[in-house]
Amino acid sequence: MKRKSKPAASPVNRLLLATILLLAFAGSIGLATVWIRHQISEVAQSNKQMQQRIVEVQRRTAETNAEIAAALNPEVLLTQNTSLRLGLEMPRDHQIVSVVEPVEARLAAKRSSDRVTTTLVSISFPLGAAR
Amino acid sequence: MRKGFASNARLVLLSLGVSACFVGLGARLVCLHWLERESYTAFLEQARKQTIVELARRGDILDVRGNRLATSRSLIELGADPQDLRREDEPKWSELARLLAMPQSQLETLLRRRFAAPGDAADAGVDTAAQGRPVRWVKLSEEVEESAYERIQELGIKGVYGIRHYRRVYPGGQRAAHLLGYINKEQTPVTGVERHLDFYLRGQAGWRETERDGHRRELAQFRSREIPATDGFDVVLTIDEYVQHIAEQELETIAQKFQPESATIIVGDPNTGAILALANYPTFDLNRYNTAPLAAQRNIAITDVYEPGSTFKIVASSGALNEHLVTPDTEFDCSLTSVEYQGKPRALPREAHHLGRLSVAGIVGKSSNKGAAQLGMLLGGQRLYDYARAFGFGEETGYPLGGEVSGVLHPVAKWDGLTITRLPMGHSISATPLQVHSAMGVIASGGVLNRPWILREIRDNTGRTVAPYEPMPRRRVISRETAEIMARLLVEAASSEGTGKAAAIDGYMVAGKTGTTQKIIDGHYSTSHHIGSFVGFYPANRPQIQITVVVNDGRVPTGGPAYGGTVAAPSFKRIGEKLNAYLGIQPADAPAPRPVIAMTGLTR
Repeated sequence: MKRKSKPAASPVNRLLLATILLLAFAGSIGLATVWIRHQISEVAQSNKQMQQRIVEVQRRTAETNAEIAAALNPEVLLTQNTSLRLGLEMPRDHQIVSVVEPVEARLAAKRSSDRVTTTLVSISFPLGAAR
Repeated sequence: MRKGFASNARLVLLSLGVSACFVGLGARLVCLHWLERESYTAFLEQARKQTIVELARRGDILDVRGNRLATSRSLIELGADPQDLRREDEPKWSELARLLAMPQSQLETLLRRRFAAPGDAADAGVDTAAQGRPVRWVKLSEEVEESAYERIQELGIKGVYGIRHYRRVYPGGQRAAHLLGYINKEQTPVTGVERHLDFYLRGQAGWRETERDGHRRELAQFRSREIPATDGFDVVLTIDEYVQHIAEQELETIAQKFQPESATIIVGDPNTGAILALANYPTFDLNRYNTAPLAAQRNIAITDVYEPGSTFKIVASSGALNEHLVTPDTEFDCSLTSVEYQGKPRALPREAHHLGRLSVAGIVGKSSNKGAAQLGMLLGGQRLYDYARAFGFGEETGYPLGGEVSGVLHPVAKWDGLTITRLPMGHSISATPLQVHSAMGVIASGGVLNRPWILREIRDNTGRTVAPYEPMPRRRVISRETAEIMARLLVEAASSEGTGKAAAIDGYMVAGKTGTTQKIIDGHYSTSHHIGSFVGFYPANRPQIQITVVVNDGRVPTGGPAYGGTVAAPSFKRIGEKLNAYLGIQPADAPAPRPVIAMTGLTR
């Protein structure tokens, strides 16, 4: 019986197969390149958005600081004191008591007095035990 | 050779097909990359490449407690491209008009102007050169706040977009206007800190080269070169916003009460030369600088000179005491009309009152012109001149923000016969209020002339100090002992017996000197126009605050000359009383604060 040769085994078929494999390999490289580029684009876009958010936060912080500065303006505070009828005033000289003694010594004494405490302790001696 | 599946015909067909594809591809590539390369590249360059500039935020100007005196706000210039507007967005226009605080009819007129027409182009903010062409940009508002812009974006109106920019704002309005300076519409710093520290404040704009897609969105992956923006540094001043507020409030009081031509108040720490407040009248609102007259923008504390008058008597008396020519008890006849000097009789200046014999203490306390003239003659022309120079007259104080004048102090060779008797009482010389303030600072600081200290430090945007500025003593002028004696004599001048009694603060030992000079009008000393001043410090035994008040041509409501004791000394008292509570200044009888010794490494 005459054996029929397998088509795949023929050199031309091998050449075809090699070409197809080469094309598939080149294609996969192409796809990988596209995928990598896409990933680069995604990361770049994400970085850009993150950067924009940081800039946005910095801008908001600066805006808030500017608003705080405007709100802390002495004229604004005085106006609010009047309009809200808060009745706040600077202390007058007669309301201020100057501490003429050294403050550190007073604070040190106060702190020491907390530590050195006296506690009433009762001690009893059994008279019979004393010889 | 076995061919299997691949017959000749099939192979030829396949090879032809593949070859044709490759030839076609190659031909197209040759067209694109060689024959039509220039036109495509140019189109791409124009359509895709773009350079985006990232603006740097200008640094803030802070006071000594970190309060913002000047800052930058991000605002949006809002506009629309009428060609891009969609009909379905029209119902949102009413809300847009409300957010822009603009009548809806006006907004609709702007948005419906799709083509520039002659005559109405300028009104709409359209480039007149583009008349008849499609309008691609109509300005809706120059300054939209961030919060409003967010709400506008939420409306989602296609074709309405904004361009961010920074605008310099001064939260305090006219607070420290002459110190801070301002940025004009062309973003050019004009005066003050804004101008002289522009190098630190302005920052550096960043930029990046990138590409964009057909929808004009940036393709971040094609960013090629990128330089990030560097925000400007913050400048910290020695100014205290509240002290500045007190000084400016007091100037308003002076303006209402005496309607002067101008007035200046300087508050400082004499030990370091730090300026806590420097205020002038007239002043202006920094946020509306374009409406302020130029005269109001002048920092008269450093640009305007006047004859210091009796405040200058500290020079002759300090000099005579420092040279051990006199003691506080040495007496002079202050009733004489002339005294011989260098072999010639010299006419002594007139006094407002007859004073008779006075000690040096009395001369300072009662501000005797004749006594000061005799002290000057005792000192001699050259030494008097040398002391005046040493006290800082006739030269710039070293004010760090520029624009300062040096005043006039002629060398002895140019003096006439009367100068030796007139200079000790503060005539034949002119000085700025800041020079007079610095000169009194010599006595308050124990004999040392300090340079005015206004810049405290430069900080980067993380709060790190990049350039600290320290107090700068310039020279020792008189000995510490002489300074202490002079301080005691000046206490008498501000006591109930002295000319500056209105400056006395209950419970505090105030040392100071009044000054009143007649203004020169048409080449003659006027009897109705005066410059009244008071320069002083307290507590005299350990000075913490120095205040200078100069009132130019005040009108006393009850009539009479605007003496320093009348128009300036009461302001010293009022400012001092407010500062006592704010800065915690203790009265004269309180002991000096003792240093607290801290030890590290001690654990319980």
